[in-house]
Formats: sequence, structure tokens, C-alpha cells
Amino acid sequence: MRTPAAPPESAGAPLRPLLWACAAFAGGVLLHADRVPPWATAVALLLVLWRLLSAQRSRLPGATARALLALALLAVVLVRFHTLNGLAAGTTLLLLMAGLKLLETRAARDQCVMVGAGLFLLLAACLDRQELARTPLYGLQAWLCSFRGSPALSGQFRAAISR
Amino acid sequence: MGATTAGAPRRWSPFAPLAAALNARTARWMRRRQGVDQLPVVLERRRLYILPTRAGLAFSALLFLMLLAGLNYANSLALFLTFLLTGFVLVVMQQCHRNLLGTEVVAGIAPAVFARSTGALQLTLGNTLDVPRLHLEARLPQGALRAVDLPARTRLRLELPLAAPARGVVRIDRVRLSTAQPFGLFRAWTWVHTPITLLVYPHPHGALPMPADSARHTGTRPHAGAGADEWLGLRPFRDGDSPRQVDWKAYAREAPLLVKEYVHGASELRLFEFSQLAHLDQEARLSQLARWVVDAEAHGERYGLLLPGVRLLPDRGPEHRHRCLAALALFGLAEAPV
Repeated sequence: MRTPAAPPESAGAPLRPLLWACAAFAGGVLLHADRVPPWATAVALLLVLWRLLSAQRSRLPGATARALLALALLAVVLVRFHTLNGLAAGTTLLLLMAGLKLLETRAARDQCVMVGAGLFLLLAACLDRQELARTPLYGLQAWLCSFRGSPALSGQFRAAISR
Repeated sequence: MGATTAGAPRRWSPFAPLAAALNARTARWMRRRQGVDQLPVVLERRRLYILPTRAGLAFSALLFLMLLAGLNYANSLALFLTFLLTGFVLVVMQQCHRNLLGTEVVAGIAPAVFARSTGALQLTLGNTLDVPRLHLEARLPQGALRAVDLPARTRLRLELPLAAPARGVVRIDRVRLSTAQPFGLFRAWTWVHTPITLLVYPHPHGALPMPADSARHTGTRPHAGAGADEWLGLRPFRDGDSPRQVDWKAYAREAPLLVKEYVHGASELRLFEFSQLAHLDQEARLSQLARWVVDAEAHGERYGLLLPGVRLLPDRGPEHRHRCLAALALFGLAEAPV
């Protein structure tokens, strides 16, 4: 995005914040699994998997590949929904674009963006359905995004506040 | 978040001069408001400042959007989520403040170094709480940044590197202590205004041979032994003394470690004079003198230093070495010695 020469994971970069950011996003995706088309859920989860696998081998797709993917996914949403407005089309678009954003997470800032996307997906789920039975799911997602998703959070502080 | 990227070159911005002027103004205001700190200092409530980081601002914007969406759709659950997260942010602000509040700044010293090397400000931080303080960052105005986790009831020493390009004095007017923990949504910080000076010795350089027996001309030799060493007495062992001079027999009799002291013959009593090196320019002369001082001390010889206006009688030991090198470092500068 900014510095193409920099390796995606520097030697000391911790994997754990990335894992939690992925978890926060994946939680948001799963909240919508029965509402958005199955292919959108599948693509979003596939992107998460791709990011996690590339963290191991330190390779991420280049800017052109990402741009092409974004255009293609945008076109698919347009063809399927005939609009980009509205809750259903908007949520699908958010899922896909946030999934693409995940492919360029390098710094803590990008992981904050992922957590924000998770929160927005949670909000969309709240707008969509507010049955009492789903409240625990929403609570779980809010916990993932606020307490666990924060890239700045270290294990020691959790130990300190749990005392 | 700004502090973590301080080392990287900033992008050019039209507001940079404005921001610099504003920063300088704020710095002066804080200095007036807080006064000079005498270490040790406990960071108290009145001197901590706290503002949201960029992530915190982004999170606030997200919260505002969520509020709008909740109001627009008249959706109670969305509103509840928004208020819950707002409460979370407020608690985070309090926790961030508490993470820094009450931290002890125990000591700050900067040991002298040679020019063209890197010195360090050694800052000792203390935590008197039963909970750890996480990721406290210390930063110098010169740019060095170090972070440390302070476990419960401990003291830790941080080393902030400081470039020492030329001889003289590097002044450190203030040190910034800050933290963005937990969650990085807020940054609490304070400035510790404690005047610390880093003394920079001249770079020891030069290939001229040491002047031998220059004492004979000036007559500063304490005794006129005819070339042979003269017994002077015993004195306690100091770091840097040669093992050959230790009185091992006395040590075997369970006496403390003593060193046999002699007044050395003429060839081992050196006097380094600034005026001897008239063919070099001033900095080269000081470098050469520093080289001789370092070498003479390493060989355990006694040496003195004559500079215009400064006269250090022959002696040896780490303190004498420091006195000589400090005189060289401050030569010709208006700065008062530390």
C-alpha cells in the first residue's frame, strides 16, 4: 500500500494480533452467513484463509491483483443485486471489500480497520434482526472486536485486569 | 500513534512549520507551568495530559456512524451496542491515564562518551503499584524512543541512545514519558523537565608519539629520583591498577588489596601540553591529547595536562582520566563544566 519494498511480516511482528483481527472479521461474516448469498460468505472466509496462509509464507498479492479482485467482486455484486444500496447489497459489499482489505494488513493500523469492519458487520446484523435468541452471538462478536481484537492489547494487561 | 512512527521520515506537509511553531509554544507553556523537576519525581495527576490517538478518533467516528444508523432505523439493539462501546471507550481512557499515573522517575544520567560514538541517557523508572504498567514509552526531543513494561513493584533502567557527533556538551532539557496502553485508543503523556548533560570527549585520534619526560623541562616532577623508581607507600586498590603492582604478600596476610606505589622515573611521567602541538589545528590537537590521555591511562602511567588556562598535575586513575578528558571536551567552549 505505502511501502511495497517492506516485507509483509517483519521478523519480530507478532502473529497474535493478526489472528484476533481475522477472528473479529470472521465472526462478523458468520453473523450474516444465513442472510447474504452463500458464495459471498465463502469468498470472505476464503480471503481470511488466504491471509492466514500467507502470514506463514510471508507473501501477499500485489496491488494490481488486489485492484482486479476488487473490481471483479464489485461487478458480481452489481450483477446479482442490480444495486449497491440497501442492507443486503451493502452488507455483501462490506463483507467482500473488508475481506480484500485483510489482504493488505501490515501495520497495527490496518488491523484496527479490520476490527472496525467487524463492528460494522455487527451493527448491520443488529439492524437486520434483533431477536433475543441472537443476543449472545452479538455479545460474543462485540467482545471479539473490543477486547480481543485490539492490536495494542498484550497478554499481561489481560492478566492484570482479570485479577 | 504518532510517537511510534517518529523514527521514520515524515511526509512533507504544508502545515509542518505551523505544527512546529505550535509544538514549541506548547513546550514553553508546559515548562512554565511545571517548572524544573528534581529527580526522583512521581508523576502526579496535575501534570499528565491525555488525548485520543488516531485510532481513538477513528473509533469515535465509527461510534458516531453507529449512533446515526441506530437512530435512523430506530433500532434499539444498535443503539445499545453504540452506548456499550462508548462506555468501553470511556473506561479505556481512565485505564490509560492510570497506566502512567504514579510512575516514578528515579534517576536520569548520561555517562560521558567519546565524540563520533553514541551516548545514552540511562533513565530509571519505578512502579510502586501491585499491578504492572504496560508499554511505557520514553522519548527524547532528539527522537530516540524506547518502550518498556514495568512489572509490579520493580525498577527498570531504560537506555535512550543519543548521538554524540562532536566534542562538547549535549543538553537534554526534557524527556517525554507516554503510554497508549491499553487498546491504543488514548495516549497519556507527560514531560519531565530535568536538565541532564551528556559530556562528549574529543574523538581520540592522532599518531604522534607520546612526549617522553616533558616533566624535566617544566619541573613539576615531585621527586628528583635519578631514573630509578622511588618507594612511596601503599594505597588501596583501584580499578585499573596493574596486578603487578599489587602487594600480594600483604594480601596473603589477609590485609586488604593494596598497591605498591612508586614515584616513577622520568621516562614514565608524562606531561601533555597543548602548546607542543602548534603545527595542528585546535580540534586535531585536542584529539591527539585525548589519544595520549587514553593511552597513558591504559598503560598505567602518570600523566598531567597543560592547556591554556587549565593545569592538571600528573596523576592517574579513572577520576583523573575523566578530569583530563572533560577539560579537553570543554576547552574553548562557553559551557560551564557539569
